[in-house]
Amino acid sequence: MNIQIKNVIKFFGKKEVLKGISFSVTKGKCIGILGENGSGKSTLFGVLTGLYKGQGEFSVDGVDLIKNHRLRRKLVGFVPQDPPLVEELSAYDNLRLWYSKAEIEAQLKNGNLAMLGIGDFLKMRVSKLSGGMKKRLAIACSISYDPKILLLDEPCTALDIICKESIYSYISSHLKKGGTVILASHDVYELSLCDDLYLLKNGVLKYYSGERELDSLVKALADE
Amino acid sequence: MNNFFRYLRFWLLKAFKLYPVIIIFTLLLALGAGLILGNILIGRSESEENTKFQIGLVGDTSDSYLGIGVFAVTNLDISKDYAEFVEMTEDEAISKLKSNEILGYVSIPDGFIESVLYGDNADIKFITGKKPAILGTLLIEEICTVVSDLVVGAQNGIYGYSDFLGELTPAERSKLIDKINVEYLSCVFDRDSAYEINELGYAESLSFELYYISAFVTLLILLWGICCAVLMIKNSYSLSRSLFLEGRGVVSQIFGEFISFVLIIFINVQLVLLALGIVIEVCGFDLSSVPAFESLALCLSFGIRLIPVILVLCSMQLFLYEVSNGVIGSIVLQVLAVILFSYLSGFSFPIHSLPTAIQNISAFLPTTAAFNFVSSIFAESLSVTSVFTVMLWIIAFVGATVFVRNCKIRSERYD
Repeated sequence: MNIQIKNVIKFFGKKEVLKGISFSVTKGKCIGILGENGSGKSTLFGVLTGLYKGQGEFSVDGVDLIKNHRLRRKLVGFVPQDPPLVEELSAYDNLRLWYSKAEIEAQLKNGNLAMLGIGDFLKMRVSKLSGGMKKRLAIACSISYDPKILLLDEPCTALDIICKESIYSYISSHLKKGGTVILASHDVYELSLCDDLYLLKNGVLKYYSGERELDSLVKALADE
Repeated sequence: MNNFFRYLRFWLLKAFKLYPVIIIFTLLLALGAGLILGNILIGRSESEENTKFQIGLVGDTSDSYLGIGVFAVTNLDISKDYAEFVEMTEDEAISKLKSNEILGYVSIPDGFIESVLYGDNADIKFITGKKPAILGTLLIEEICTVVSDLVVGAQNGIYGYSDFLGELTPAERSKLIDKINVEYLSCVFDRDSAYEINELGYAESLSFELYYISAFVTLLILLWGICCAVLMIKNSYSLSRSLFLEGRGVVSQIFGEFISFVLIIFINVQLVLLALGIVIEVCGFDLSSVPAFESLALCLSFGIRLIPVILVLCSMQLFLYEVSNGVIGSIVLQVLAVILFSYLSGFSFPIHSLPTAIQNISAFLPTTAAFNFVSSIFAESLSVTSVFTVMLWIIAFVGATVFVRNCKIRSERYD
């Protein structure tokens, strides 16, 4: 599976927020995108998922997913920063919006839900879950149809290391199964998991090949 | 379709999980409304007991004819709860008028009755303070004008007739005129002969009582809609976006939420009607003046007939919830809308008593359409126009909600 993002452009009014973003990624690879707050990482994901209108191409094996909504919905899973959960209901009730009863049972035995440890808090009300649990549940909801391409928008923000580890395990497992991950993050450790790293600043995406230490990354962002 | 039912099931589950909270809000609202209403009613009855509008009577009030007139005006059905005549001197009257102790005073010139009886019509003056005319003032002024016109007109007739009585001696003529005057005045103030009361009501084929019951039912549904704020308010559109990206469009989302909202309100309505029906049947109340509530079965069928009303009011509130942001903003908007529309649609004052401009505006409001529908259920005169108007509003509001949700999901922001 060859994924190409070509010349993605997005304007907010007259301001060009994304200036011809281009990169490619192959099957089983993880791409990291680092940028300051407000640099356009979530906007990029919005254009790639079809939420926002923009110009450019997002193709998989030559098929443009921006135009082909049905194929995009099958192949692309998006995990937003803000978990798409209803606080008043339990984790199970939230999952029932995305999975059938049988699917939940199957996945809890040896599927993605088991890997994410959802069974530990299945019957708990979402409002009583920790941040890490909510994030894992949000990921579980977003991958119900087992998408090949995952777009993760800061998946581990404000999580403890144990929660992060379970999410990283899931990401690793997804990559091993031949899936692809495009990850937007500020977390140095998360970015260290990525095969390729890009910096997004002033609407321009540039490949980063330097050290993945905090100081180096900060300097790189400041210099761009 | 499967996705729609999945979302509907999800939203119904949320609605039923939040139902106890909705019930608590409803009870608090009922308690608050009951306290306010009780306070108003108690305050009004106390004020009615102690402070009727006082009208001063200045001048020579000793004449028996004047006594008949004052007695009649004081005891007319429409004025007796509002007005009380108190004799006083002119200086006292002016002083009390300035200090707002009296609404106004009637100044009767000396020898008024004699002048009337002998064909001279001295003016009775009604003096009020500098305040906008209110019902009591208008009422008394109107009564004075009518009585005065009646007396003056009658006197013209009587004295015109007396010219034909030239053959009578002065004493005989005087006696005859006195007799005519007395009989005429008795006729004027004998309400059974002078007029009959027709209860016209304030809507076609609807009594005063049913008018306000219709208003109350409509208002209650609106207030329940506010109590469902915990269900309807959204702090985040993340779920809506995720559903949209998965191919579950805005239309199916809105319909799922709308149906859940309507169902909760319908259940509330039926529970109240069920309780009402049981109380009526157990206690044996006579509610023949409100046929829709005569029995338990009729109460419940009334609830079913209210479905279009519930749909239109819920669609309006769904739209208001969608356009507002946050908890406080949403509730404030809902409350303001209820207050404004209640007034404009004639829930508090009969629409026909409001200015023409407001009546014109009211004709185009969804709450008026809902209220008219409820009224027509009570009047058993449901028309195609009522149904059509209600359906139009439902489609308009649901359509507008879909549009707003679409804009909010796709609202672009710097990230």
